[in-house]
Formats: sequence, C-alpha cells, structure tokens
Amino acid sequence: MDEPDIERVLRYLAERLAFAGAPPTALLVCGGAALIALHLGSRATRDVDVIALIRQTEQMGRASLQKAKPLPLYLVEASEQVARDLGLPADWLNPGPADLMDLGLPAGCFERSTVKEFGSGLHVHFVSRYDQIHFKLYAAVDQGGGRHLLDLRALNPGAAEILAAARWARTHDPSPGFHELLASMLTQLGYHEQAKQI
Amino acid sequence: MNKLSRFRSSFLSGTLDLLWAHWSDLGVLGQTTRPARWIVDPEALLAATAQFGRYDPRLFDAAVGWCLLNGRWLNSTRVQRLQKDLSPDGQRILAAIASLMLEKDKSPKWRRLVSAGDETRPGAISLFLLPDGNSLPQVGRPDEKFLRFGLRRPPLEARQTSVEIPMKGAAALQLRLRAFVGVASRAEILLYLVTHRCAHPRLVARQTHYTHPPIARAMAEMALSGVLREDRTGREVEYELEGALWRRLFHLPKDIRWINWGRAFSALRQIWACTGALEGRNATPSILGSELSQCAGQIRAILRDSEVRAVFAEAGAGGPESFPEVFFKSALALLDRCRHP
Repeated sequence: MDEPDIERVLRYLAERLAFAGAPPTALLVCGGAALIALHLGSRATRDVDVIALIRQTEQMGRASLQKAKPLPLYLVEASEQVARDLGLPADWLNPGPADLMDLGLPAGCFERSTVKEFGSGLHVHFVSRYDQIHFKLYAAVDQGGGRHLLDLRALNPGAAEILAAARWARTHDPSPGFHELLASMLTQLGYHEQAKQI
Repeated sequence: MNKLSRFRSSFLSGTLDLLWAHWSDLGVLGQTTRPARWIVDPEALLAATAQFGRYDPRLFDAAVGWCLLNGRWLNSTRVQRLQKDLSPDGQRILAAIASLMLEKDKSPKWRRLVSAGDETRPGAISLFLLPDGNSLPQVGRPDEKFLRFGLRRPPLEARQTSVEIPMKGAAALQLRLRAFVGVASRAEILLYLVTHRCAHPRLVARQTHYTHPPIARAMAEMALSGVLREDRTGREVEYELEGALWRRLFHLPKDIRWINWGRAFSALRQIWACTGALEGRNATPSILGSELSQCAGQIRAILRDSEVRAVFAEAGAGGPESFPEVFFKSALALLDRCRHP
C-alpha cells in the first residue's frame, strides 16, 4: 500500500464501521503506514500496525490508551470485510506492535502523534517521527536489522534522538545481550558517542 | 428514486410477470404470450408466490383460487420441504393457504403444513405490501381465516380465476405425470429422467426436493419393471429411461427445459431480501457493492445445479464501488434467463 491506498483503505474501513453501527473508533498506529501517512518514508507497506485503541475518559475528556491486542471483534470483522473487498491480506490491520504497551510507550508518544479523520467514526493517530525512531531502533536490534534498519536510516535520527531511543529500548530489554547488540548497532550506524552513553 | 430502488422496482415487476406466466401455464386466467419452454414446478411456484404474491394481491388470490381447485395435484411433501426455505412470514403465509385447502380436502397431507405456521405472533402483519415494503392500506374487517395466522388482509373472495389445467401443454408435464402415475415420488423421478439422460438417486432426490431413501427405493423398484435401465459402477447406480420414446409419448417439444425452479425462485427471493435489507440504509457505493458481492456469493451457491443458464457475476478488479451496477445487471439477466430459458 502506498499513500493513496492507505487513505482509500482507511476511508473504506470507516464506511464499514459506520454501516455496522460500530462505536466511534480511534487507533494509535505506527510502522510503515504511519511513515507513509506522515511523509516520513516512501516505501510501500502491506499492513497497518495498531499499538493501541484510544478511549476518551469521562474525566475532562482525557484520552487513555488501551492495548490493541486483541482487536475488538467489530473491528476485526470490518477489517476482514475490507480485506475481502479490496484484495488485501486478511491481517492488513493488526495489533502486531501492541505488546510495546506492556512496558510502556515513550513518554508523550500519544501527545506527539498526528491525528487524521477518515470518516466521522474513525480517527487514526499516527505516531511521530521521534517515536518511530524509538520503535524502529528497538525492532532493528531485536530482529537483527532488516527493513526496520532501513526505515531507521531513512529517518536519519539526530544524536539526541538516537540516544533517547536507545535508553527507551533498554527499558524494554535490560539484558546484557541486548545491551551489547544495541551498542554494536549504534556504532555501525555511526553513533559512536551514544553507544558509549547507554 | 436511487439506483437501488429503480433496480428493485424493475426486478419485482419482472419477477411478478414470471410468476403470472407460470400460473397461466397451469390454467390461471391470464395472458400467455407464447408457448412455454419450461416445465412448471407447482410447489416451487406456490412457495415463490407466498412471498412475491404479497406485492400483487390479484396474483396471490389467483394462486389461492387455483390451489383450492387443483390442490389434489399438489405434492405436500415437496411443499413442506420448500416451505422450510422461506422466511418465517413466508412459511406462515403458506400455512394459511394450506389451512384453506384443508377445509376443502380433509386429507392429512395439508395438516403438517398448517402446523408449520402455528407459532403465536404478537400482533398481525399486513399480508399485502407496497413495493417499498410498507403495508398496503386496508379498510374494513380483515379475513378471519388469515388472521388466525397473524396475517391481515381483506376477505378472500372466491372468484373463478382458473380454468382446467391444460394437461397437454408441455409446461404442465409435472402435473400430467402425477395424473398418470399418482402424486408421489415416482412422478418426480419420471420427470427428471424424461428430461435428463440418466441420473443416480441422490441427484434426483436433491433436484426434486425429496429425501434420498424414498427416491432410491422407488428407483430400484421401477428398475424391476425393465422400463428403467440400471447401470451399476461399483456402489454407484445410475438409471436411464428411453427418453426419446417418452418425449414422443408426451408430445414434448425439443427445446423444453427442466429447471430446478425451487432453486431459481430461491435465488430471486435472496436477491429481493438482500437488496431490501440495504434499501434506506444510506450505504455508500462501496458498502453497497460489498454487501451485494456477499449476496452474489450466496446466489451463486443457490444456483449451482439449478440448470438455469445464467452466470452471476463476481466482484472484479474495479473495487466494491463498481459492483452494484454489475450486480443489478446480473440479477436482471438471471430473471431474463428464467423468463426465457
């Protein structure tokens, strides 16, 4: 999916949700779809990664994040129908990165996100470049590089950004093995000073 | 009027024309424009009329009149099986018609059908409807006999709307065979074998809306006469009639078509139900296309083995928003195929 595809798919998902009488839905999305939506990357993506569902709380309309795994049934049914109608993989909308919620997102992640409305019942919050750097660094180290590393390089993080990302990644995996891999990755990417500071 | 409403209007009008043509072939006074190329299935026709006749009181009452006159030729086992395929309202309507037949013919064959509509219902519904699904306005006292089944309608007037069944017409072959061998599974078996090269009992049962055991038993017994030829391959048994001989015997035209009308009418009902559920819901073109695409899948499944020569379109590469037009064309083409098999 490229940018027009993502726009079309999410608009159609909004139509399906409205047709099914689903409750208003807001999603926090990261990964390739967020990069494309915010013009931070040009590669195509096959899916839309949902971290959390956003609920408006009673108190002063503040938002709270709820882990997207599992996705609610109404959302699964609507997304599967979208997949059938538009010829997408059945899991094009998935809670793949939702486990990030277990140990906490970078502080202020939701507030930094950019919201887009795809119909009155569907709002999608795309995580910011700053937070993508966090997620991509963690995923690149965790999975040994690959497409996450390419995305990270494309984001061209500054020194302070990569250091913040590295420190956050350590909160998700404090093991010595991960520390070693992380330092090695930062060094290979040219962040020699930051590798020493983690 | 939007495209969906326009389609439904054309579709309903075409379906009612088709039902009128079939009833006319069985002797209901009406206009038949040319000799039929189909063999009418009276039970499937009655079941279809129980639902579509709600939009045409004249057709409904003509069908009821025919049944009251010719009920003895109807096969209640088949009506009962086809009744299960109807909506709850349709089943109730068929039960109400069966109760009228029970008054004329006390045989127990109608009793089972009547009991299928016995469930209590809170408040009566209007039997007759306007094309948009709203009740047809009604004044005066409702018909007590229909009211017992939770159906409100003006009193049924017994009018002579039928003449004798034109038994010699090819369209009435099913009834003619019943007159010849009796209202039983053997007439259905003969009809299927006269119009097909050969068949095994399971296929005949499925296509004639019977269960397998009585059909298998009857075919095995008929084979003992030597008129039915048996061809056994392993555990599979196929039976064959001297088709040409029988077609000559009944003066059947060469181009006469057997169609599983139970399935064909069921497909038409499905189209009507699917599109009706979408009317007035302000569905976007994409949603409409998506919902109709699911409906099209159900229709393709219903039409499989129906022997209606129509292909119901699948959603293509154009996306769901382009499918409503494709669906409407397919549905009207199917209707046309039913009218001109």
